[in-house]
Amino acid sequence: MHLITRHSIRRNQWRHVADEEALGSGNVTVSLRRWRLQRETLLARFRPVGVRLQPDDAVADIAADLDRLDLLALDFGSFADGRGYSQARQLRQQFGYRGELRALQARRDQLQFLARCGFDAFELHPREDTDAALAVLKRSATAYQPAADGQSLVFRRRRHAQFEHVFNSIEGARRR
Amino acid sequence: MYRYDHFDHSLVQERVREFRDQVRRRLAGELSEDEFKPLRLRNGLYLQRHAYMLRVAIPYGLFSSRQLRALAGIARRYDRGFAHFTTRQNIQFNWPQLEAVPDILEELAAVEMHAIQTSGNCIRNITSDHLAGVAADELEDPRPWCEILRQWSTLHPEFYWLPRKFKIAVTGAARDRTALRFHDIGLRLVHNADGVTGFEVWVGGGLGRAPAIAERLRDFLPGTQLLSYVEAILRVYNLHGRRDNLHKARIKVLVQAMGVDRLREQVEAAWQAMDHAALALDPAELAAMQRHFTPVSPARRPLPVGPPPDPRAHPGFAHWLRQNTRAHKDADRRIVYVSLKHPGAPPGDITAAQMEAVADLADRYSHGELRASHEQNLVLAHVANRDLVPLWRALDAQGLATANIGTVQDMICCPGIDFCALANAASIPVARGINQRFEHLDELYRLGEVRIKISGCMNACGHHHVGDIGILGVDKHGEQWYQVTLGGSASDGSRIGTRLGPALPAGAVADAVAAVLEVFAEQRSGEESFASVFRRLGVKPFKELVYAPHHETLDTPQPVAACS
Ligand code: SF4
Repeated sequence: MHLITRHSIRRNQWRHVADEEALGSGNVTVSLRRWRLQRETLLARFRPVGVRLQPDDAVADIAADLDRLDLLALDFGSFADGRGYSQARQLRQQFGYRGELRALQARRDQLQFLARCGFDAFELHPREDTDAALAVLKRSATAYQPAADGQSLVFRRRRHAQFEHVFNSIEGARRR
Repeated sequence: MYRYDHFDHSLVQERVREFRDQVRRRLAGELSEDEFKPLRLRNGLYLQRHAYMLRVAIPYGLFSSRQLRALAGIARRYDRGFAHFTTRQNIQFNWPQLEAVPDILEELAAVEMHAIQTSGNCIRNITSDHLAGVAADELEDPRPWCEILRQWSTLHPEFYWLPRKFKIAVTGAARDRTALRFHDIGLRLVHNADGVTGFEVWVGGGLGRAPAIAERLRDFLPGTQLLSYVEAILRVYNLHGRRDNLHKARIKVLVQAMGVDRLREQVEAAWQAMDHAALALDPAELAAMQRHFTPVSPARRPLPVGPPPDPRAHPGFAHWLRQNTRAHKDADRRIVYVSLKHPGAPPGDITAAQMEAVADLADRYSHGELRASHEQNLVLAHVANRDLVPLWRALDAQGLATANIGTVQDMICCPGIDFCALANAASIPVARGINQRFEHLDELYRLGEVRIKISGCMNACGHHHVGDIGILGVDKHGEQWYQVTLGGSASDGSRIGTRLGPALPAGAVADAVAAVLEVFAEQRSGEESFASVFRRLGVKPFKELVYAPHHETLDTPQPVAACS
């Protein structure tokens, strides 16, 4: 499994621990269910802890704990299941989550959409090529609409582009 | 009409490059067909019965002569010299090679067209009134709003993998010509008491396996808030729409399951939690968009416009004028339908030569602008009265002036088993069979406006549920049978048709239609519509006559499962 951010390959420091598995040492993510059951134990380890969310988990259920989590990992279940994109935007824009938001089993054709919805780390699908995936993230892409990416609505950018155009031509004329 | 600027051009070109790479990976075996499928679908590429099919978007049905010429070129070079207009104001090519599709997309991009989101579980082409901007009954032109929605929904990162396809229609007219209440979201332009422009919002309509009429979600939504509110609806749908069963995944099922009141609460809650400012439309931005759709000004092309030409002087012209043209809001012009319903050709099909001829006529007579209607005809919307006779002659020479708009021959018909991989039965030959029964235009005129709609399977691309007469192909032990419904309506007073009786074998469909129309003609008083006669009489008299000759074959016990 390769982990990348928007800019580079990164070494994975995290272990995704199944519900019955021992926590062990080091950074771990657990399911939302385990987090609910063992919240105090997990916090008492004084180690970075993260939660894995499934497509049908309501992100509001974790909202109160977001400050205590270093990582949220979203499992999409299947490539065609788009709930994670809405979960991500809610986490970032509605609940103000600032920690790492990681997409699991990511394929390159999703990456730009994922990044725009607020993901900043991607565990690639085993069949995915790391360099090709990074190239996709670095590629510039035109977007019409705002998401969790600070982009503004295209109609607004057009207006500004027009102002700039007018301003530049006035400037140009002045200099001549 | 809307013209691309550098934002639009770069977006479409980036998408072509991305798809070219996806095709390359497929051909190199880096992607399996299963992996490739959702990617190609989002670019309008289906794998059909014999070949790939490419569906190209015609946003809200509006396009230019230049674009039509480019489409004709594609039909000649990459297809077999023809194309097919669909019931969603799109155009389809039936024989492209996978390797060539990126080149086709590049040619489309050069004329400001694309195939983005014309299939797949995402927000599809926004549809609208094909008479937008020229109809006398219009409150406001819906097209600027359609274009705003088109841009907002294109490659929207959150809504690219919805539970199911999602269709939005917008109308600004008093009379609905968009089948508004059969869309996932239907938006009707209204003014509130203070004269503010906004929308009545309908949700959860659809045809297909379980047809549903949309419910009213909001009486008034200020136009400036359109995008944030629609985004809230989509977010609720994306998170809560069913994903376990393909047939229960449309938003209509969510509406039925939770009820429109609870859905409204959830949408309002999601809306409140969102950043409205980021999606609010500024009046200046709206005005900039509206400038793309300024009405054709009479002043730009001063005309010695006389009274409408004398129909008596030209045999055939009178019928065409009556059937195939409509009043324009400017009395010196007419709206002209180009009939793609020549009785000898599949409904909605057009040859490359015809496309080129229509493009020339659009340039000469209608400001280079064209519209595709969801009834699978084309519209030249700005024809000066004095040009009607020459235009009629030119269309007639191309076989595009059959004076049959709104009549029995003006059938809506999906491609059916001749092309479509999902089909149960043929639909084009059914249309041909009906046309052979109703060859005489006089008979058609006597019957007046009758809408026949044919689908080759439950997916209902031919909108059979909302035809005066609906015909649905069903599979019965490997044989093609047809289920007939009566009394459906797509426009105001939206209604889903009532089943006539047991399914009929292919050979009996045209007779059944003839029998239904015989009852209609007998029972009708004056110019009464089919819908009204059907409301009065119910299904019984129609049923009696249709099934009279079939007692022998149809009353014997049938395996019922297939025809339900
Ligand atoms: S209605 Fe069925 S047969 Fe006809 S085009 Fe749609 S999917 Fe194909």
